[in-house]
Amino acid sequence: MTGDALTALRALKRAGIADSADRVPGLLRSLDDALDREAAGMLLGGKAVRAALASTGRYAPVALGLLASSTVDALPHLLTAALLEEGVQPETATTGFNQWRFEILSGAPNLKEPAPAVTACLLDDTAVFEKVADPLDAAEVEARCAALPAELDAWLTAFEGAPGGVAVLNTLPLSALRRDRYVDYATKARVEAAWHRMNAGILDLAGRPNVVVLATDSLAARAGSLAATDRMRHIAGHAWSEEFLDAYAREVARVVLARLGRARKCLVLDLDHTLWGGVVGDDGIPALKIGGSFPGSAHAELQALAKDLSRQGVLLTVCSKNDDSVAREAVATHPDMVLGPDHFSAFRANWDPKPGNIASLAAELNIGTDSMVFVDDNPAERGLMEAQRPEVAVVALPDDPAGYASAVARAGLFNQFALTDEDRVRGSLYRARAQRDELRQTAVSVEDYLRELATEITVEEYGTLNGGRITQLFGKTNQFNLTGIRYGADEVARRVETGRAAFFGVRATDAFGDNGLVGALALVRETDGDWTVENFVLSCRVFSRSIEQTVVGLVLRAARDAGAPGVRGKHVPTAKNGRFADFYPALGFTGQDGDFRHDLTQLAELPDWVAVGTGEGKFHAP
Amino acid sequence: MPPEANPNGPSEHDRDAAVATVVEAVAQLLDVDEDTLALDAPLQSIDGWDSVNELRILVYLERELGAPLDYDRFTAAETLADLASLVADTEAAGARA
Repeated sequence: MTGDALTALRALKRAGIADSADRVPGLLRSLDDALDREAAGMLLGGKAVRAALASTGRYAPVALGLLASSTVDALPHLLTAALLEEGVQPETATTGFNQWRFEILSGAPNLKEPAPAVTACLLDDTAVFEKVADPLDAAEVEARCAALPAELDAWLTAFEGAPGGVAVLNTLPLSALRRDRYVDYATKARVEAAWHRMNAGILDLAGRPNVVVLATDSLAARAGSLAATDRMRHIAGHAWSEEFLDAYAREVARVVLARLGRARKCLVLDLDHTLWGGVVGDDGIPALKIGGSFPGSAHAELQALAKDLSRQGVLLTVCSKNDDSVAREAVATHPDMVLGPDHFSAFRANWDPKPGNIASLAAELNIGTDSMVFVDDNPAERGLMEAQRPEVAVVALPDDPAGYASAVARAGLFNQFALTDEDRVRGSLYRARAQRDELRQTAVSVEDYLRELATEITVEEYGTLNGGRITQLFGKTNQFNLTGIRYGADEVARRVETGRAAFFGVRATDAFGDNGLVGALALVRETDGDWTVENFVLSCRVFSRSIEQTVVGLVLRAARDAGAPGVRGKHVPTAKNGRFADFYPALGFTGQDGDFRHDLTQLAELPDWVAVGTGEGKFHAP
Repeated sequence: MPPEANPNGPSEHDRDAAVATVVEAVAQLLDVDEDTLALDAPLQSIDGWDSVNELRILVYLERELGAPLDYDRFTAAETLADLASLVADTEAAGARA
């Protein structure tokens, strides 16, 4: 039968969904069946419901594009379901059946307004065979397969012009009816080989900036099916199964979240029966099951996965009902632990409710609870978290520990475009931050603390080496993000090249180590000569250390030295940047309603506890 | 032929169940209030009824029944009552098999 959650969503809609918008993500997460999810997406994508959800301000709007070589009526609805789950409300523009090529080569007339942040182009094997005169001619199929990656490469170049943004492509499946029509094994092998080379060529396109290529067979394995049934192929012209389209929509949703800077950042792990088998408080440390034979092997597998996530920049934390000393001793001393104390950026072992603990973990790490992923074997703890902190992603662990690691990996909640060096060392950066916080407690005054910290910043001009991190900072920073403008890699490169804007990174080091590139700034020049800070973002790791004042002070000085009459700054409210609404006025800018200006006649002193490195670069307008 | 004349046809109880299945499918998939669905009203008059949604309802009903519906009868159906009778006959045929 159709899920109760769908019935509940219909009831919410009847009662006026704006009042219960918080319940929508949880209800959607509990829907598994692809047809139910399509129905839910349809229900929640209707005009009146859209407006009602938008009016709550709890859903970030995003424009998407959708192209395909077959009929994919279900996909916009499935995308709506997958994204509302994560607090994002998509508006999806599509084109007619099999218009994917023409739409882009004709300048994207249907996708331009509003420009899509992400466009998904789902291709099946018609993209190959529509240009094959004789499918039995293996040489012709080979030639066509060899040509398609270059054709898609040219298509992507046109795509960058219009509509631009992120493009999501996929490897093409060879359908059974195509494959099985050859009777000799030599031709079967020849066509398969050409097909695999073509797909490898399509995957290589992921090396282009702002291009994601999804491996269709991986999604099909996750979905448990790939092609539409023969019946639906004939009746409805479907190429893909409903289950596959749902898995595809969920993966595209991950891409959209990464693009919007909403990828999750922190894994919150329970200990007893999760990271290890057994209850340390009852059974004692030696009895814990980690590694060796099952179920210890399954717990070790989860730890190894968490460790690999940590090596890619995901923060690990513990949230466990235990005595703190017992839990820490087990983590530190059990010989089969894959993870050690150093892997955890923060640790909560106590008897308080976990929803409160997760908030305090978030506060300690200076991230939002909506960046957190909660892993706990206990369904009651998971239910409590879902009820009290709907913004926390709760992994639906199976009953059997054998599936724990797979469930966490499959969720894909940490997916992002490209890792930077900072990502790989983020865990240690945060641990160093914890040491700094200890120093803050021992230092007498805040200024003493800041002096002992010995922060030094350097300004770097945008270039090939720091470009990826600068783009990522604009993309991932949510709190200190003064105008909310996020830039694609291609956009930054193009605007620098054409002299429309100048981009800079800010690097910070201190007594405890190198914080890496922590800030990014975009400057444009107005027609009256004023400089405008189009956006300024700063990692939350380095808040409240006067780096932000120093950066703005350097911009003002550079503008004055260049003879500019003034510097303008903006604050455009987003869901997360409210605490910085008065950032510019506090630094001597005047103005209101988010539009501020500093006239450069009198500049405040730079904070003397932040040193400014020389020789690297200096702010300038384009 | 009245239903009672055919010992292999669906019973009254089965027909009621088929009506409930069809009404629920249409109500859930098209998000219309079940109380507004009249069995003898033209399907085209149901809010949201179009060729794409018609196929979604076909897929949904076939999944519920675990058996394919006769496609010609499905596309020829003009009312919810026609669909319910197709569902009831399909179930009765499945039970006999």
